[in-house]
Amino acid sequence: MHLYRTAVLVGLAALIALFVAMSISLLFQLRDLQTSEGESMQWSITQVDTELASFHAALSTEIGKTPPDIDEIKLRLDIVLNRLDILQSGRAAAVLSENARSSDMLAQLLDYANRIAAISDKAGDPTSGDLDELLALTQSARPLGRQLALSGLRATARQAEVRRAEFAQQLRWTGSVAIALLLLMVCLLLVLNTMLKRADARDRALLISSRKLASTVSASLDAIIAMDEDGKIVDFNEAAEDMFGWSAEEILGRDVIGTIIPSSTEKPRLKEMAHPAQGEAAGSTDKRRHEISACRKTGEAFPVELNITSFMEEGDLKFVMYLRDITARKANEQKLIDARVRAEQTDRAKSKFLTIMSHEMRTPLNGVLGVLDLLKTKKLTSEQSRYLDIAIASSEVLLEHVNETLDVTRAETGDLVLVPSHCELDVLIANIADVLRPLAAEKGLELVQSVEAIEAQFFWGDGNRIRQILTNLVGNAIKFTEHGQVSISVRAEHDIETSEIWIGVTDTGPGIPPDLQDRIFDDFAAFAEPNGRQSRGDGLGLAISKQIAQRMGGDISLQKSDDSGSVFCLYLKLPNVLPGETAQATNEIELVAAGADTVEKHILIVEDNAINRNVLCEMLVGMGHDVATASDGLDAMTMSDQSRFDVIFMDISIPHLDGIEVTRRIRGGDGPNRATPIVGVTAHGQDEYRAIAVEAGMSRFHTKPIRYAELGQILSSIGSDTTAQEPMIDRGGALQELYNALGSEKTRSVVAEFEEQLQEFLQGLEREPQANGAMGLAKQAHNLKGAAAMLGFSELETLLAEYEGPTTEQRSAHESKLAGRLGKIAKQVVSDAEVMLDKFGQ
Amino acid sequence: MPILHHSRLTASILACMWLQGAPAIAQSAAVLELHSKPSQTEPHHFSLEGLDELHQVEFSTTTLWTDGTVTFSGVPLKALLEEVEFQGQTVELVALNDYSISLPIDEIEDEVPIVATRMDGAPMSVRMKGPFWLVFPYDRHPKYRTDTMYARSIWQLFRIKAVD
Repeated sequence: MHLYRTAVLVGLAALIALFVAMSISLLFQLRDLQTSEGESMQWSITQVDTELASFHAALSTEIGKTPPDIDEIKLRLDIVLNRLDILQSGRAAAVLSENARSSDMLAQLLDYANRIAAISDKAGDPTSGDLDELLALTQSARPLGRQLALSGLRATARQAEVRRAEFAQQLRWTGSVAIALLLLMVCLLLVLNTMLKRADARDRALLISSRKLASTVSASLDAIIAMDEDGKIVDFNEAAEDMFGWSAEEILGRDVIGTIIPSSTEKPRLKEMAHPAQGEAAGSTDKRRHEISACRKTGEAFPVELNITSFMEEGDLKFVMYLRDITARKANEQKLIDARVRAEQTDRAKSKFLTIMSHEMRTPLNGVLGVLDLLKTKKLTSEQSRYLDIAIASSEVLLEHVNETLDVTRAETGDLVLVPSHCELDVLIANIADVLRPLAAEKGLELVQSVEAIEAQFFWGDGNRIRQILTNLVGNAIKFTEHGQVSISVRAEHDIETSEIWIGVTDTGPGIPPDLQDRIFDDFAAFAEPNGRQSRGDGLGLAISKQIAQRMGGDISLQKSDDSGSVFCLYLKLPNVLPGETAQATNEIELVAAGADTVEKHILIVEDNAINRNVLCEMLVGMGHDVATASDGLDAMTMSDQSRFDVIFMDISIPHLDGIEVTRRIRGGDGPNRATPIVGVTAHGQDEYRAIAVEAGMSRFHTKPIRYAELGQILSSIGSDTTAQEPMIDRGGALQELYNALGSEKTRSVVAEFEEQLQEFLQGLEREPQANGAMGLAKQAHNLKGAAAMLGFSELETLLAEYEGPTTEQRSAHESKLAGRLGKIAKQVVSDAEVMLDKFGQ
Repeated sequence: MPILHHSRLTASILACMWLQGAPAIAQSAAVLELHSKPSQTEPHHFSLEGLDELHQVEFSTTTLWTDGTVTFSGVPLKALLEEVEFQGQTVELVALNDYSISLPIDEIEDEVPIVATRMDGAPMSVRMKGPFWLVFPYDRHPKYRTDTMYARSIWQLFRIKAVD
């Protein structure tokens, strides 16, 4: 643009200069034309002819007179000489000398001039002979004068022509240049006009945009504050006035620090914000929003969101701050946070309340059910018996409510803990069918179980939870079906590591209405029965079952539901456990008739609640056992030190020393009850304490209330253990059998090898306690467990089973304790076995 | 220019007529005859000495008819006319060869032209355009270098007449 303008200007200047030069040249030529000397010269030359003629005439006249007028002749002669003199000087000479012919003629004429001058200048008056000679000379010179005149005429005419042509050419050139100049000027004018228009348009656009900007700035809801490099405020919009309470007049020119930004410590931060690190500038705008504390004129501090940018204005660095008052937003955020904290607190309080309530309700229920069970052993009238059944049924419903509430709470708080172990699905299903068949029979329903589909297979899973889910599903099926049958079918697909199992529960009930099908797995989705009677249960069953199933990595779904019946399906994916293993789930309930074991036992009850203590005591006494009681941990320690018991029932929550600690001390000490079976009892959910209880050395573990029937079963199941002298090492006389078959030496070497392998396993555990679930260790544990079973080391077998399956969260928590106990027991078992083998040998 | 040409032509013709019809001039060439009034019959006569007594002006210039720069001296025409209390609108000047020119009185400047009596300090002979020559300072200004001025530069001047 600049170059272009320079070129145009230079061109224009050159043209003007050319034009001026040509004009000046033209002026000179014009002046030359005006001052033309040609005409005058021509006149001078033609006059030669005239003067010659005049002289000739005068001579002729005077020669005829007597005497002739000599003065007149001389005057005329002088005039001719003067004329000829002019021809040889000045411009005329120059004109004539250009042409050879004219210069020749001129020479002749000059010769003539000399001759007549000589005659004229002779002393004395000229003679008549002189006059005649003059006449003759003049006569002969006249044609010369005429020709010279004509020649001069031609020469000057030619000269004039040349000059006119030159002038015309000059005029044309000058005219051309003038036209070119004019055209260029017109072009420039047009360009100038366009530029003016453009500049005008730009000016207008600029004006509009600056007005827009001004109105934007003044209408902005955000405070917009411009500063110079030193932080002096140079602009302050209306929103800023409203926000800070300063008027623009007051604050302009003042430092932003100390007026609206309260502390000078913010200053470096401001600079940093205005000059974000490379890359950050290109980042999202959110990164450039900063929350800082600002200050109103009144001194009130308030939070603002600030965005600061910098720009160069005529070489000066300027900053623009955009500030938004976020007081309300902050307050709302705080409210939300508070609300959330409150909600969480409330939720926790609710869960805690439910847990406590569950526990607190279970304790009196224990008393109620215990007493009712006791009452049932008495002789009653039929009416009393009927009342008693109602009371027991009601209490059982209440118990179920308490249990479900606890499960919901656990599920919500994430405390729902799975306790996987060996689980034999077909046995489990058969048990459920057996338990629920009487309920079905009551309504005239058939409970069918198709077990053909499932192979006898062991899985690693929480049998109790699976039982809970299936009991719920089958219970519901029975509850909602009036005619026909309820069937349980099992389908399984086995892989090497895991099996996928589908357990279907099919009924022939009226089905679930389509509009309710989506909601049956929601919490508290209890639906009125057609007859208007509220169904049993609180509607939590399916919701809890689904949650538990999902927790196991499975699911429950409603496969089908129409007027021909419903199909629920429990899907599970469980790890396989090698077949042939006969690990006993520690709390598997076997239906053994109550009171089958009639051997009198010496039993210690440790329980702080007097009612429950008395109920349990009454039950056991009623069964014909000898019962002692202790109300706290210290009491329990004292009593267990004093005498040996066959069984100890140990409540977990007792004063001074809790049941776990008491058990640990009994097992760790060398008192008479070192090997006595200890049955843990708790009003809490058993899941929370099961692992700890096993680790502490409890043989079994039960949740309150303990029913009369269960009690008999518990006693009978541990009866075999208690009858043996050393239950830890020779269950069922396995060692004895081995000894009989292999002989002393072989048996000892087997025991020694077992000990060696066990030590190796324990070292492995110690080396990599975190990797104890690794396949190598699991396999080792499995092999050791097999060996322990063969040798009859039941205690070790139980403990080793813990390492056999995949690692569980819970087990890893107690890993070190478990390992410690394993080591301890192993040592004792091996030494005891050696003692026993010595005995066999005797 | 054609007009100029024409007038020049007319002048030539007039000169020829004079030549044919008028009686031969037989007067002393060194005397200037001045008719101060159109109707006056008795003219003033100025000799070289008489003219020398009047206001003198001298300048140097080139001319078309001489070589190099020459210096003329003489009496300004205006001074001369005032001397004889010239009456009339036009001055007619006549040469020895009967060439004449007319000069409007109001075109005569104070010191231009002059009736030159000497060239380069010497009186001029008839052969050298004498005895008197009306000259302009041609080099002083272009306006003196026009054809009109050259035509007015009359030499061998011997008579000045007043014309209405």
